[in-house]
Amino acid sequence: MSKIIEVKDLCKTYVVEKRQVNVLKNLNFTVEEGEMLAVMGPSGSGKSTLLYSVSGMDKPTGGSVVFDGTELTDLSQAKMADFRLDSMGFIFQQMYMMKNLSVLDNILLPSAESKKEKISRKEKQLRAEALMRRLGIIEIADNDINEVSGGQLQRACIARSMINNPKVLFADEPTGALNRASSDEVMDELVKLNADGTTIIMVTHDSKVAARCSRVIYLEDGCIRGEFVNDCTEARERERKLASWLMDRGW
Amino acid sequence: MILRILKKDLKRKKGMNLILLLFVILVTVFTAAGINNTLTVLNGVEHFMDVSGFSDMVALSLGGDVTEDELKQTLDEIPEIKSCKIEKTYMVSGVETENGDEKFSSIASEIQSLSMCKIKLFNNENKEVSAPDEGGIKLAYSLYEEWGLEEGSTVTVKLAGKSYEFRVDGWFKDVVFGSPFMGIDRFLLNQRDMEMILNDGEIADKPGYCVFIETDDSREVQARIIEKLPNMTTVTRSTLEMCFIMDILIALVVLIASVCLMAVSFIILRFSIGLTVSEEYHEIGVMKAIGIPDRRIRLIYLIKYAGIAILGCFAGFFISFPMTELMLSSATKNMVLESENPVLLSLISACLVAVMIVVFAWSGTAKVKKATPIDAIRNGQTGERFKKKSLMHLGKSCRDSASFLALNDIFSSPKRFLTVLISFSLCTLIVLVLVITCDTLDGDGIINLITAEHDIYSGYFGENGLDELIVSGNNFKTYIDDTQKELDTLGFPAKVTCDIMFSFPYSYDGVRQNSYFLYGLGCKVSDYQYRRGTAPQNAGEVAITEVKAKEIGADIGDTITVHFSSGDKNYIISGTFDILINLGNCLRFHEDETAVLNEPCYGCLAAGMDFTDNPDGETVEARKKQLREHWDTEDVYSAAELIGSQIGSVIEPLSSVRDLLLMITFAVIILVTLLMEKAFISNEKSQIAILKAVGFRNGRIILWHSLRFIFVSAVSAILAAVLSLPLTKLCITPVFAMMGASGVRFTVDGISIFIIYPLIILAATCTVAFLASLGTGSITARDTASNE
Repeated sequence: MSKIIEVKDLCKTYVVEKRQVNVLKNLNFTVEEGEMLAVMGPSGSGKSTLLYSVSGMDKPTGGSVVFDGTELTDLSQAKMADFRLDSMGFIFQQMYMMKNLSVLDNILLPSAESKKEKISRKEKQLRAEALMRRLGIIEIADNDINEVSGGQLQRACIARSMINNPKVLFADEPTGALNRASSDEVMDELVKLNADGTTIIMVTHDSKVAARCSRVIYLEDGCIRGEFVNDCTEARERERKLASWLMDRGW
Repeated sequence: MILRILKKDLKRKKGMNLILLLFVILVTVFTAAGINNTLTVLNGVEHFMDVSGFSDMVALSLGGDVTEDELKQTLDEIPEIKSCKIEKTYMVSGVETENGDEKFSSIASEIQSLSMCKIKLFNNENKEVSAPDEGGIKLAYSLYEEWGLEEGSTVTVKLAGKSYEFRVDGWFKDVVFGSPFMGIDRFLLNQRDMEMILNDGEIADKPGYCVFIETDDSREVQARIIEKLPNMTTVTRSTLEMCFIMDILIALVVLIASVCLMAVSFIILRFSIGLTVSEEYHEIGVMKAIGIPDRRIRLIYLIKYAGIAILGCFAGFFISFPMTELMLSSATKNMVLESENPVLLSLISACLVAVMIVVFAWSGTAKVKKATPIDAIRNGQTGERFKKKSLMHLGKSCRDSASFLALNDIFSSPKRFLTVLISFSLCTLIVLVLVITCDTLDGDGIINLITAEHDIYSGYFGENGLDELIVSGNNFKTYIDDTQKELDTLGFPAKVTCDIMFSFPYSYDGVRQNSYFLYGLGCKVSDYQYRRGTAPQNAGEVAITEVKAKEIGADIGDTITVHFSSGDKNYIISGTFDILINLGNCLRFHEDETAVLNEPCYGCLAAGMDFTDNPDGETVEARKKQLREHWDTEDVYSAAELIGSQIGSVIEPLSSVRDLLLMITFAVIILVTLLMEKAFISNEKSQIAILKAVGFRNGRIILWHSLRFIFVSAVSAILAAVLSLPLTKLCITPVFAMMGASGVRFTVDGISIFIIYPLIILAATCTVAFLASLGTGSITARDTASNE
C-alpha cells in the first residue's frame, strides 16, 4: 500500500482576542491508501481542525500536507477547490444539502460541476442512481430533503461524497446526529466503501464507530497522544480492545 | 434583556440594518415627493393662475383695431362682468435673434414694461420677476428655450419700420402668454426703453389691449364681447388651462413615476421585513426554548423596526424637500408649480411610512407564534413542513450547475423573486414609458394631429412673408404655382399644398362665436385623419374637432352657420378630427368650397411639399437643407421639426425627467439587489459553505448568486419592453386627449426600447449583483463546522 496522505509538522494557530491558541502542534502522520482512520480525542483537542487542515478546507499555519503527491498548502484557493471536487469527498455531522434540490440532484451536483470525466449528464445521473441503490435510498431520489429521515439524508450525503470517485473520504462526526440504528447503517456503508478501496479519514467521539476503523489516532491538546492499530476481526473484540486503549488515555 | 438582544442584533447585522434604513429613507422620500407632486400637479395650473392674479377670462385685441373708449364702453355694457383690469400692450412687426433668424412662429408678439403688466410674472425661483435693466429684454421661458437664447444674447425688435436691439436679461413664467399654444409672445422692456420707443415711433397711437375679466358667466361675456367687438379674441380660464397641457403632461409623467416608485419601495420594504424576521428562526426558537413569551419576542422586533422607521423617516423627511423640488423643476420651468404645504405633507408622508413599517413588522412577526424551539435545533425546519417537488431536474438539464442552481432557486421560491421582478419591471417600465413619450413627441408620429403627411414642410412664404398672401386665400394659388415652378427649376419636382387658416364667426344653437377654419389648398380633405364619421363629402359639409364639438354641444349631422363677409352659409358636420394646434379648436372645409378663398386669411400653418420623383429619405433630407440655403431660412422642416415648432419645447424637460428617473431606477435597483443579496447570503450561508466544501470555486458561487438577479432582471427587462407600449397608451393617451388629440400614434424605437435601455438596466443589475455576490467570498468551506 502507498501513502495517500503525508502530514509533516502540521500547525494551526488561531488568534482569539489578541491571544494565540495553538490548536494543532507539529503533527506528523501518514495515511495509507485504502486505510480507514479514526481521529478521536476530547472536545477542543483539534480533531475537526485536523480534518479541515488535511482536506484543504482550512489553511494550516505551518507544516505540510502532501495529498497523493501534491503539496496542498501551496495550492491556490481555486486549485484547492478543484482538488476537493475531484479527489476528495466530505461528510459532515449536519446533513447540509441544497434546500431547493431533490435528493438525487443534490447527489448529482458535484458531478455536474466536475470536469474530471468527459461523460454526459445522463451517465452521471445513472451513476448517482447506482450509488443511491447501493446505499439503499433509491426510493427517495425525487424527494425533497425535508421529506426524508436523518439516516437517509446522511446516506445521501455519503452518496454525494462518492459521486466523483474520490481518493479519500473525509467524515466529521458522520453519525453524530443519528440514532444508534441509523448510525450503524451509515457505518455499514462506510465500511463497505472502504472495503471497495476508498480511503476514509473520520473524526468521531463514538468508540463503537471508531472500533470499525483499522487505525485510531488519539488527539489531545493539539498533539497526537497515541495510535491504535486494530487488527482483530471480531467486532466485540475490536470494541473491547479500543475501549481499553482509550481508557488508558483517560477517555 | 430586550435591550441587550437588540444591541447584539444591531451590531451583528449592521449591513442588513443599514440597507433597510436606506430603504426606509427611500420610501419616505418617494412617498413625500409623490404625495406633494400629486397634489401640486393636480392643482398646478389653477395654482399658477391664482398666484398670477388671473381671474376668469382674458379678452385680447392686440392689433390696434379697438380703441380704449370702445373697449371701456363695451365692457361697461356687459352686466355679467364683475370687475376687469385693462392692460396696454404694443404689437411688434418682427423679432430677430442675433444670428439674423426671423422669428415668426407666433401669431403675434407684443412689448410692454413691467409696470404695464396687470398680472404677476415669475422668475425661476417662483418669485415675482423684476424689470429688466436698461437696454435689457425679458421673455417667456418657452421662447427663451426654443430660440436657444442665453443671458447676454442679442434680440432685435422691429416695429413701425425701426429696429431696436436689446440684450437678453432673463426669462419669466407667464400664465397668459407663457405657453407656445397661446401663439402670442410677450417681451418685457425697461420702463425707460419703453418710453423711448413710444416717443420714437407711431406705435403709441395703436396700442393693443388685454382685459382680465372677473365673471361668473364666461360664456355669456365671451358671446357679448364678440358680438360687439368681433376682432377681439377671448380666452377663458379653462382654455388657458389647456395651454399648459404639455407642462402638465411632463408633470403627470413625474407623478406616475413617483407613484410607481412608491409602490416598488413598499413592496420591497414589506418583503425585506418579512425576510429578515423569517431569518431569525434560530434566535426566536432559542428565546422560546428559554421561556420568553411570544409577546416579548415580537416586542423586540417591533422596537428594532420602529427604531429604524423613526430614524429613516426622519432623514427621509428632510431629503424629500429637495427631491420634490428637483422632480417638479425638471418637469417644468414654464409654470409656477409649488406645493402649498410641503412641510405638512412631508410630515404626514413620513408618519404614514413609519406607521406602515410598524404594521409590516407586526404582521411579519406573526410568524413568531408559529416558530417553535425545534426551529432552533432543526435550522428552521420542524420536519413537518413539506415543500412542493422541484420543477427542474439537474439530470435532465443541459445547463451548467451555476445557471441550473440560479434558475432552480427562482422557480423554487417564486414569491421571493416575484418581488424583485415586479420592482425591476416597474422601474424599467417608468423609464421606457418616458422614452416612448419622448420619441413620440420628438418624431413624426403625431404629424397627423397637426397636418397631413408630406415629405417636407416650409414656413417660408417668399420675401414678403405671409403678410401679402393672407390678404386673400386666392393668393396662395399663385404661391403654390410659383413654388412648384421654382422647385422644378431646382430639380426637385414636387406637389405643393397649403393648410390655409381662416377666422370666421359662426353660429350653432343660437350662440355666435369665432373659430379658426382650415382649408387644404392643393390637396383633398380626405388626405387628413378623422376620428369619427367621414371627411366632408362636398362643399356643404365641414369636419369639426372633437374639442370644438364638445364645447358647443354639436355632433355629426348637426348644422352650423358660418358668417362670411359675403353672407351666411349652412354646413352639415360630417365627421370629427383631432388637431394639436389652437388647443384643438378648429373646423375644416371640403376642397370644393373654393368660395372661402375669396376671403382674407388668418395665416398658413405651413406649406407641405411632396417630391414627385420618389426620392429616398436621405435625398429628402439633403433637399431640405438645400432649400434652407436656397431660401436663406431655417423654416424648412421635417415632420418632426414642424411638430417641435408647433407644440413647443417639451422634449428637453421630458428628457431630463427621463434621465432623472433612470438615475432613480439605478438607485432602486442597486438598493434592491444589495438588500436581497445580503439577505440571501445570510440565509444560505450553510449551502454556500457546503458547496465550497465539496469543491465549488468562489467564482462559481458568485456566478450562481449573480445569475439569479441577472435572469430576473432580463425577464423584467423583456416584460417591461413588451408592456411599455400598452402602458404608454394607457397613461399618456388621456393626456393627449386632454389636448384635443386621442388618436396619437406612438413612436416605438425598437433599438431603444428592446435593446439600449433594457441593456443599460441589465448592465447595472449585473454589476451590482456581481459586487453584492462577492460577499459570498467571506464564507469558507470551514464554515460547515461553525454553521448552526
